[in-house]
Amino acid sequence: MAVGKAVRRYEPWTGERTRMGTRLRFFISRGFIEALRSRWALFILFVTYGLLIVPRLFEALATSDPFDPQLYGPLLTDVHLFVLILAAVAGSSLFASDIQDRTIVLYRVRRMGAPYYLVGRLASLAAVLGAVSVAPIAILSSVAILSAAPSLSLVVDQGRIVLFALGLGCGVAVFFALFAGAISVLLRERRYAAPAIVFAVLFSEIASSILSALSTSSLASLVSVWGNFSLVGAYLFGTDLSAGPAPWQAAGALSAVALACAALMARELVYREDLP
Amino acid sequence: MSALLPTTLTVSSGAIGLLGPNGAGKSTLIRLVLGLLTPTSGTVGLLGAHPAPPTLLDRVGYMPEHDCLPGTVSAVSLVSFFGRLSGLSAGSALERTHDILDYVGMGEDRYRKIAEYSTGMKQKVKMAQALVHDPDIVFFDEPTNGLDPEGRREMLDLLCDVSQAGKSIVLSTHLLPDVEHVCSDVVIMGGGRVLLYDRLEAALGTRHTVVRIRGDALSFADSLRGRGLAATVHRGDIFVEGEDVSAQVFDTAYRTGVQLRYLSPHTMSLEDLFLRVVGDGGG
Repeated sequence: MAVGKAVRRYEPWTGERTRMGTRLRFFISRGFIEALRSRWALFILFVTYGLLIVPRLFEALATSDPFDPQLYGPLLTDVHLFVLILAAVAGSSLFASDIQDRTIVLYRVRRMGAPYYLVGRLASLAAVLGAVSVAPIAILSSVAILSAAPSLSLVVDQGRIVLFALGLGCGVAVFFALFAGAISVLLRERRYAAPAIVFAVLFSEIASSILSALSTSSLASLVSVWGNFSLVGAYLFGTDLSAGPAPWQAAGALSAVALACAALMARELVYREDLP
Repeated sequence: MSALLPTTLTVSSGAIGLLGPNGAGKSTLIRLVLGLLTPTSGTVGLLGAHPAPPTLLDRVGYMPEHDCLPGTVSAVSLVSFFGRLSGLSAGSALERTHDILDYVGMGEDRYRKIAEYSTGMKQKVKMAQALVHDPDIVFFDEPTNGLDPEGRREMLDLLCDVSQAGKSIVLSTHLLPDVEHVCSDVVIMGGGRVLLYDRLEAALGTRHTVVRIRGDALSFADSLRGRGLAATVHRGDIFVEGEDVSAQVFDTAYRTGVQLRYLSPHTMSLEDLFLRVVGDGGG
């Protein structure tokens, strides 16, 4: 007996659409979760917390001054390398995959469009990087404050150190998200983008060392990404500043690079019309 | 250089076939309407809005011609993801995803990674992501590309059903039978301009008389036009609009001393129409 093929009929959907904010939150959280599905990203997180953060937790438990800059400053310096590797692992495919697979057109023809897509992708990467640059500060400061139980006047007087540390951690995450995103857009291939992100930062360190050796000008050290973050950190935490560029110059150099990266991504993803 | 020449085209709802040879401007027109390209001049409206605001894109679906699916996720994951981005809540996105994947005929394969799919299955997923948010108008760019005859038939039946469900569809293709199967209206493009927009039935319904002569067909067509007849030349054949024009053709031939070799009424196929329109339009 022949069996007839089931007749399929299109059924409309009846429901209320969510707001753009809800969609953007979903997009960011999905990007965050997907980035953490990478075993390399998880490995880096595991190593960062195992090597750097857990040992410092004991230090935080024993401290009598939860607002000691020495508790946060060195940690922010130490996580730089891990932030960089995580940016290479999670950020190299940030846009490259969508451009390579040509999935990007499916975002661009939706209401969210290219600007929301760009912001959403960058925010998800910044959130992933924040897991090694912001979350450790939050954990350490919470543990230190809870264990030391400082007076309210001390919190009001010195609490800004924690805010500075959190702000600097955010700055590191956002900077590296923009930097990795720009290289991902520029190279459009993950296998090239990942090493390029690492080499570009390492190159800035080497170039800074060479220029500093060759030149008498202290501005040569502004080429170094990590050097600039260290300068800004030293200024915020009130530690001694060695003879070198002013902190505002370091912040300016970082801001200029970040703005250039943002402009590049906007040009390639928002204003460029020959994308697939 | 302009990809699309200045043109005014207002299309009504229904199933519209967008035809044209390669480089005619079909994809450019779709990209302009979807906002992927910015017009250098003029405006593009959508669903009655000029220009169309981004909010309107919630009511638009698009199935691209090219491969656009990431291979690392399943159909369920991808379609529900784009459902969420189009404004469906978590619960309704998943429910709707399964409904629409059932509708396009995806079975248990929906849980496998897209990299393992055949071309036909990928076309179904592309269609599902275009329909998941229940748009009012859907643009299908070469939806039957790479499909076997059965898959093609299935895809065309789905397009017909979507159209009958009250959705407007724009079918861009170079396969004329696909348009005949699905569409009520036809737009023919060539050389970056719209050459024809008409009801398919009306465009094909116009009866013609085909005339072949010994001598210069173009000057004979001019002579016919001089007598008020609508005559065009395609590949040496002269097409004269109307069936009862024989007497005027004979008379013109007699007056101009042209020898008639063939004269017959002719019902046009879409292929005839296309070749004539594109040929006349210099496409």
